Amino acid sequence: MANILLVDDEALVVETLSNAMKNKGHSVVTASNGIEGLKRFGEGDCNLVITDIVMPDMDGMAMIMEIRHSAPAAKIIAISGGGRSGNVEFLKMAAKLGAMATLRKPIRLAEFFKTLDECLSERHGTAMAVLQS
Amino acid sequence: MNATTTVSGKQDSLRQSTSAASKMTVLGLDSIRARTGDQWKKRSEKVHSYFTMLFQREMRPGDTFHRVDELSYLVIFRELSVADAQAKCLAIADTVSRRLFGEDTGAVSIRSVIGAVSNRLLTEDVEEQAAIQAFLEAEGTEIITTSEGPEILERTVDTRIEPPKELSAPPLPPAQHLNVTFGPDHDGSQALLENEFAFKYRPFWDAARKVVLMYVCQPAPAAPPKDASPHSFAYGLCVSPERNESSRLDLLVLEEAAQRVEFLRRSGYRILAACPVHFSTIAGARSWGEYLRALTRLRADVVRDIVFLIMGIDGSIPGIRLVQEIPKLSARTKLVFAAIKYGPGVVRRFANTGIHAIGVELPRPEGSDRPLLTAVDALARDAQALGIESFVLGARNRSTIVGAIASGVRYLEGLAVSPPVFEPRHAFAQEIADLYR
Repeated sequence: MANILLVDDEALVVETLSNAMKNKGHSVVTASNGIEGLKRFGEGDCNLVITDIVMPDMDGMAMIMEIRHSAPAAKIIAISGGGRSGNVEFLKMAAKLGAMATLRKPIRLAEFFKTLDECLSERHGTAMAVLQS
Repeated sequence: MNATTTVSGKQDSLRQSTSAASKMTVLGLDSIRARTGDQWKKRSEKVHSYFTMLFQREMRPGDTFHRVDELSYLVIFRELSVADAQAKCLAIADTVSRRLFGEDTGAVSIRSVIGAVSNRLLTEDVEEQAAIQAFLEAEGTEIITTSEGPEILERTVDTRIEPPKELSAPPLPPAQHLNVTFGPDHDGSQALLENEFAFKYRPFWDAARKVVLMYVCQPAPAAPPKDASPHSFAYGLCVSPERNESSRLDLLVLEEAAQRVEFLRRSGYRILAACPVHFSTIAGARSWGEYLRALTRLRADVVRDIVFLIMGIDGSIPGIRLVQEIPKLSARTKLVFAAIKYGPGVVRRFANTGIHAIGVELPRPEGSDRPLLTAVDALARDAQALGIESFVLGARNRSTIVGAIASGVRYLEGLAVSPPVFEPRHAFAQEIADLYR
């Protein structure tokens, strides 16, 4: 079981995903924006970061960059609905910045856990190569 | 190793070259290659043949160019000033860009080599430095020195592009030279308009088309009001509407922006200049008369590249007035924007006004961005419902920009987008990724 940091400003998403992951036996820490997320990341021994992109104060892409800088091997999954515009470019950007996998909201739990398990079981470099191919 | 470290400890011998070395322009094609993508290998020779042809066409005896590597040229126009040589290089590069991409993309980097120390030229890049040195030696270029101080070393590569002097739009004179007159009862606020103005141009990013084509012309008085943020539009526009100063300022802005557009057009470039104009200027009979006269004096092709950004619309102005007044501008140009104070029902009042986009200037952030993002989201939603675009001015951080784009905001301006410039040159491409570089 893994220590997972979940960063999202939508309370409903945090509650749903957090409960679902806890039910699977994972330990989950949450944060509501990139600044808080970085703080939590620095505090604990986290195996995986799941982050939203569109967030106040520090967006997910900026947070991914910061995490990549301080912990190049960190495993990150980016999630976003792209807001009202449904902008998918954010997720592409997140992948370029170092997210191992990206998921578009609304997220189906089956797909979510499949991605989660894949990321947790992959070595970082391998997963990146798969995504980029 | 960069130029500054190359010469550290040798400041006594530092001198600046004013000869041909200092007129050498380094033209980089990195962005053209990036834009060409996978096609670069296939198209690079075509690109270089375009540059070669254009260089040969533009050059006079004594001028020379040298392809340093796959992505850069060294160019010397011996009779031209640094600024003129840069402008010529830009014109050539833009011609190539238009042929390649169908538009002027600004997809080159232009730098001038401005320093030489004991026959060592100052540039950022060691290989480039060696190439320049070799080139100069082959050319037999003499490097002479002046006694200019060593402080210039801090800017060993000049990236600022200045228009050629003879083509340059004349600097906007102080207000009194423009026959802006004041009544005898003016007090402190008079100083604002009597001051010399600098004009800044704030790049206005079209996030949908991923291009900065439009610049907001912002007057910046030499003596800004106390407590005014230098980045706020209020900085340039806090004049007394009671004394009709806002309309005079609007005229100055229009004149400056028109000069800039005209100059750039003559130089082969094109931007859209957004002119802030107060609603009171449009609505007042006398002020509108003056503004209209100024507008009609401008060439039609210049007016086409003017965008109006209406400021000063508050909640007290009824929708019917907006329908009456705004078409005065929208009938004369393609795009009219309106900056508003957002509130429920405000956007709806702009129905049938011919407005292209509606937006807000974001206040200086205090605390979390969340309230701002919520307001911007509501604005974008209301604008979308009306079938018009939305914009934000004063975006100061990336999270605001990302949030605004996610909400569907099309145009963004602010320090986090791109810093203001004194002399806009032409459009340039900008991606979301550029915000994170």
